[in-house]
Amino acid sequence: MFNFFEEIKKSVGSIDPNILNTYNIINISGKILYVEGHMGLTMLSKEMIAFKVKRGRVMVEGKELVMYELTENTMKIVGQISKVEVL
Amino acid sequence: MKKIESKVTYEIKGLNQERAFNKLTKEVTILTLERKDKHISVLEVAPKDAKKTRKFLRNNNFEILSEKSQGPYLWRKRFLSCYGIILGLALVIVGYLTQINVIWQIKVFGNDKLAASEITAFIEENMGSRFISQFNTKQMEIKLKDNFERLSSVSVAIIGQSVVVNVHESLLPDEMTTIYQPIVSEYDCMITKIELIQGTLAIKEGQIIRKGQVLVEPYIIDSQGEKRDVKPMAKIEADVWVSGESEHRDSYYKRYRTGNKVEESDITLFGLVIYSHKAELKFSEYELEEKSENLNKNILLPFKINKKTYYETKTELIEREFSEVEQEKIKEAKEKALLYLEEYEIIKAENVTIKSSAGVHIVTVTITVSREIGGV
Repeated sequence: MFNFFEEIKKSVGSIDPNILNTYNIINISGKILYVEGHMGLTMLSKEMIAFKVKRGRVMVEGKELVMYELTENTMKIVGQISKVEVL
Repeated sequence: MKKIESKVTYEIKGLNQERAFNKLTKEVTILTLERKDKHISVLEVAPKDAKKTRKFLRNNNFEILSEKSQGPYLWRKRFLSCYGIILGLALVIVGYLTQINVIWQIKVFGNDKLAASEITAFIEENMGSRFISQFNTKQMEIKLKDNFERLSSVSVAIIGQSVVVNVHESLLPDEMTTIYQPIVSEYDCMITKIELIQGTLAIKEGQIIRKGQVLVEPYIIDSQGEKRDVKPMAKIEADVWVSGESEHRDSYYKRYRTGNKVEESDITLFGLVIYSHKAELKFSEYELEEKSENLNKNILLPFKINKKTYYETKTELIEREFSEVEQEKIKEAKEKALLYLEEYEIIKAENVTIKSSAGVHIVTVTITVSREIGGV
């Protein structure tokens, strides 16, 4: 079965696959940010949403940010996304 | 066409929201989540998760500011609740229409000697069905007349959901229905005149009678020698004695208050004395009066004041010869006897007796009056 993320990882063969199995983030036109593999919200506001990932933390900045379909390990952030920073 | 989703929206207020949302996502999927304020957020969940979410929010000390349902789920829910109301109304209407055709009570009018409960019980036993349409009033009238001989006429009608029975009882002579009581004397007296109207005499003129004694028996012996019950009637006059008494002692001790008094008081709260005023008591003889009352109407702090009043008294030996007060004592005894007289009664005789023993004199005044004691 075709897996979008697996296909991308395979195409870049030089990186250790264990490191690539932590989280996935897709930014769609700066309007939707799809996150897979998060480990819990740490901050939620209209201007900033932060969440934990394995070995780090991700900060999303923007305007009118709203969370869609938040589950234990996935989420969609919708709004005017201006910055995604991995710390 | 955009699919209309069912969802339940919660507006909540509370602290540490991020941590709570992380916990909540272990149980449910949060469809949307938006922070409105530092402590206020709006989240949406699927209707199937609503109950779990509400419980979670309450258990985690969140205040639910509002809860709104929307989408097809809500419409279905509303429809089901409306359907329930319609079904309930339909049941009420069916119930009403069923019960409107049922006899609920039986009312009996015009009965005197015959108990209404007896007629009611008879109708209930013989009505067969409780449905109005199956109740035959004419047939019930016939049954009632056949069963109750005392009834001279009966009418049965259905008014509303009641069976109304109007009865007329046939009049039987009193001799057939009444149990007569004898005439008895209400006084100790002496019979002076007898005029028997009906019944059998149990006394004769000049006889002294005790209170409660039978004067006229409620029967006669007819010419056939048979005993027949009748209402006893007679005019009987008797000398009735009423008496009053007074007492005199040649010497006795009289105690009276001198007018001097001393007061003491305590104020208590829950039985504990919080203020006390004691006075020096110099009286050799006194009477004590005690009084306790609430100082205020406060239930929480019920202050009470307890007052003690000592009245000085003196005891004096009173000595007076009976001869000095004899007329006074006779008058006192007569007044007591007169209390037993009825209005406009004529006094036939008065008798005064004095009994003296060990300095004690008892005066008795007996009044004789003529009184009618029979029953007409």
